[in-house]
Amino acid sequence: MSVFPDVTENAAFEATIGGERPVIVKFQSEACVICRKVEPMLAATAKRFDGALSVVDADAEKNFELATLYNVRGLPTLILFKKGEEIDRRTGFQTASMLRDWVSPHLGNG
Amino acid sequence: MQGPDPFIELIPIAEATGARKELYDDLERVRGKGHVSNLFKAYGAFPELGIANFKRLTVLLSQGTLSAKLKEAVMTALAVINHCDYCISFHGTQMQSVGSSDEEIAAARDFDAERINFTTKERALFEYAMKANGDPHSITPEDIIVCRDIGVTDAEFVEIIETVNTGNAFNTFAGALNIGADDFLTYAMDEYHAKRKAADG
Repeated sequence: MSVFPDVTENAAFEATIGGERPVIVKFQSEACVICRKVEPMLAATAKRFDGALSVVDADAEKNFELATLYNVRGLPTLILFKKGEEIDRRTGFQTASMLRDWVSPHLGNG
Repeated sequence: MQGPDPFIELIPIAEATGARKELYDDLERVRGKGHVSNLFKAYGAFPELGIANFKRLTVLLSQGTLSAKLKEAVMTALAVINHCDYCISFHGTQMQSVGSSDEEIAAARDFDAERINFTTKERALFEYAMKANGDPHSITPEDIIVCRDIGVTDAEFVEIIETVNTGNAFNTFAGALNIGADDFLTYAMDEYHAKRKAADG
């Protein structure tokens, strides 16, 4: 079971990505092994930025329309949103170091 | 964490006989009197495998060119990834024994080599280990070039991958048999006992 809140439902997804705080949506599925492997890396990254970044899960198989809307072509796909807009994305396994380098330029600039 | 008791019998040192005693003797010779870990007590149920695995571990930790600090930091990180609280205490204790600070152990638990007093090569190999563990097929020729350019040898690639394999194997073994922490460990034992107590209800 993931440590991150689940936003697979459209309403939860929209409410989450529209917030002020940057958020990484991890498009994943229950059968995706790499999705589970990246989870501790994401948790460590969120901890490192101490509340300035959140991470949530969206199940791409349970909400295929949402995954299609966001052009998710492989799992895990990590999409960084800020104020409702996609800032950047990564696909596949990422180390904590790769995640820190990826998100840090996008944090703390309003 | 599944509760207080291991799923198979752990024979005390004083009661070991035959091949099991041979395994325990090997451990005490290398680690010191009384330091037969619960993990290897469990291996005592199949002592020939225990002896072979301990020999493999001893080669990994004593014959390579990479530092014990790097290998123990990788195994500490893997223990976090694999939710092995015993292994966090074990490898955290091993990091302490080679001079790592609590801050460095915390950094290993956060997969953050930048906060560990590593050489450039060690930092690159820690990152390589995390990537190899997460998805070995995601490693690119560019990743290898980065390591080559700072002097990583073929033997060191083998050594760091084997560190990942060993950490994962022992984490699986300890988790699947519900092996608890040894009483001679010193790192994060309050945290360990609190989790154990919570699991016990």
